[in-house]
Amino acid sequence: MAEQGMADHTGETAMIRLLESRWISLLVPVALGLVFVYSSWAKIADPPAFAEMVWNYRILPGFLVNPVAIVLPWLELLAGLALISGFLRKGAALLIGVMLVVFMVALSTDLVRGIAIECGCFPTAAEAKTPLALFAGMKLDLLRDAGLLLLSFQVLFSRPAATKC
Amino acid sequence: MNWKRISAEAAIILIAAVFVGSGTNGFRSEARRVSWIPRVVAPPKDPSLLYVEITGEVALRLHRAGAIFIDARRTSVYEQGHIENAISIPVWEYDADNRVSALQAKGIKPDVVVVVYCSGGNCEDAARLALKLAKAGFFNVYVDKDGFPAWQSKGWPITRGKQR
Repeated sequence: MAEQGMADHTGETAMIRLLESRWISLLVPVALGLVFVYSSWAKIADPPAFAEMVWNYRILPGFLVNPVAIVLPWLELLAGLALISGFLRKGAALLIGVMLVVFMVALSTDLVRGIAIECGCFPTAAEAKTPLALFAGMKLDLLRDAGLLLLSFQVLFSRPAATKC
Repeated sequence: MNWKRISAEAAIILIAAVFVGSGTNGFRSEARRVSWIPRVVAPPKDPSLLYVEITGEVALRLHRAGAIFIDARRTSVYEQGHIENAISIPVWEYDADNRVSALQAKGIKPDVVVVVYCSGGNCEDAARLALKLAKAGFFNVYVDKDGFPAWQSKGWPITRGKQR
C-alpha cells in the first residue's frame, strides 16, 4: 500500500513538472489566445448576427441580449491578445475560464431543454442543418470547451519561471 | 496564487472590452450595429394573438391584392433579392425600431394588411418583426412562414438591389 502511494506521488510530480515545463507554458497560452482571437473575429465583424445567435439560446432575458452581443466579442479578443502577449496573462486566463464555463452551462442547458442551436462559437457556413446534426454539434462543442478549459487552468495555476506572474 | 491581483487583471480586461465594444458600436454603419435596448425583445407567451402565420400560397394572394410586404432579413441578403415591392426592416440591425416608426410616418394606416417574411425554415426574424409591428399598433399582421426561398423557387415576382 505504501509503495503504491509512493508510486502515485512520483507520477503526480512528473505530471506537474510536465505541465509546468517551459514549452508547455509557452505554447498553451498562445494557442488558447489564438483560439479566442479567431473566434471573436466574425462576431466583431457582424454584431447583429451575433445578437441573433445569443437570442437563439433563449437563456438571457431580452434586455441583456444586445449588450452581451456588443461587449462579449471584444472581451474574447482582448483576453486572447492578453494571453498571447503575456500582459495581464493570469487575469485573461481567469476570464477565459469563466467564459468557457458559462458557454458550457449555456450549451448543456439547451441540450437538456431540447433546443437545437448553432453554437455561434466559430464562423460557420450558413446552411440549414437538421436538429439531430445540431445536437451532435453541440455535444462536440461541449467537449471542445472542456478541453479549452483545461488549457486555461494550466495558465491560471502553473507557476513556471517562463510565465510572468 | 494571488487571487486579488488576478481578479484585478480580469476586471481591467473586462472594463476595456465594455469601452471598446460600446465605442466601436457607435461608429458602425447601421447594418452592422445593434441598439443597446431594442423596443421588443422577448417573445410573448401567446404570439398567436398578435399575428397570424400563413403559407406562401396565401401570401401570394395577398401580394396580388396589394398587401404591404416587409422583409425582416439582413440588409445584405435583402439586396441580393427580395419579394417585389417589399420594404426592408432588418430586425436585428440598429434602426429597425426607427423604420417601423417610419412606416407610420409614411401614412401607412394601422389596419392595412402587412405580410412579414424571412428565410423560411426555422427563421424567427419575421415573427420578431411581426411582434414589433403589432406593438406599434398594426393589427393585420401576417407571417409568411415559407419565407423567401420558397417564394423564389416558385418563380413568383422578386426584385434585386437596394430599397428605393
